[in-house]
Amino acid sequence: MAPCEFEKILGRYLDGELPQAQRARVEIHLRDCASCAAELDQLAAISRTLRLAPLPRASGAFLARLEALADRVEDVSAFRFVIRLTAAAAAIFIVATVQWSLHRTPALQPTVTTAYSSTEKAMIDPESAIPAVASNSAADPQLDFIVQGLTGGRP
Amino acid sequence: MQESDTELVSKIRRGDSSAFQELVRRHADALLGMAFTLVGSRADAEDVVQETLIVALAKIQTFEGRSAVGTWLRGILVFKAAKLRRSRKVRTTLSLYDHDGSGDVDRSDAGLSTRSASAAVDSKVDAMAMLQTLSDEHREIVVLRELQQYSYEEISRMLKVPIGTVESRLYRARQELRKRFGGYNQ
Repeated sequence: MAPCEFEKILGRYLDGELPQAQRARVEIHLRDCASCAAELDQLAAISRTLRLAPLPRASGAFLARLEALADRVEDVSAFRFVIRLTAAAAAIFIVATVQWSLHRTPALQPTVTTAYSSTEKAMIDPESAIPAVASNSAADPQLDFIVQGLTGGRP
Repeated sequence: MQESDTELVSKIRRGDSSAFQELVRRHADALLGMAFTLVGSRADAEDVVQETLIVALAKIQTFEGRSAVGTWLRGILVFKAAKLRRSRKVRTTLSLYDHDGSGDVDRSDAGLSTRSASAAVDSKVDAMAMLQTLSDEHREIVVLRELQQYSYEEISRMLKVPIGTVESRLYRARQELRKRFGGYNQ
């Protein structure tokens, strides 16, 4: 015999999980279908038996073991404090780094434009190099003595 | 006036360890009972409950209060029990529930919950023996529905499966029980 179409929803009916309209249809069907009525009785009996399962209670020793986990509560709280502190420090560091970068950038420009060697300066402006050489020789007494000896004291 | 579970959770977040102890006292029996039906031995059940509370403490900052605290704890427990079953391959040992009194379950009135103490003795088929014949998946769904009496929607959220899966899994589990024990429970 083919199983009744209602058979698959008897469990949902038993659990009160069917919409009202469907529930009403099942109730009408159960009046005439002995097979479904018998199956529903079996499901209900199994359900009652399962709910009589002998469940253990927590012993005093076990409760004490669980309550000892309370030490971790402060750890959780301390960990949270450290996380917050680290986050705050990271935020301050980032803000400070950004500020420093913004202030530092314009100061770089002049150093780039003045980065000529003395040779390059002389090529750009030859006259600027001559006085420096002259003054250097004048500033050297030993060189002056040699020049005077060669020239007989003439300037 | 007694504080709600949610208030206790808020206190625990602020580092109040006595609030945690109060939460433990409220839920220990229920969690142990549920763990016991899922893993089948008292020692394993105690380990599962302890692991559950450790995870709950670690995740307490992220608890959003969308479900009751008890439901949240049971959701963690279901996964911890499944993990333990996978790792230890805890499977049926009917000897745990034998009728000669040598099992792990303390069958004295002091050891059983009041709802089941006398009735369990009269039951033709031991409820725990019935559960132990089921596969892990079917036992899990039967425990959540029949013993914990959660709605399909709540079970769906706890197991992170669609409601249709809850329905079909429960249907198959009941068929299995009906075929094995249907005749004994009339």
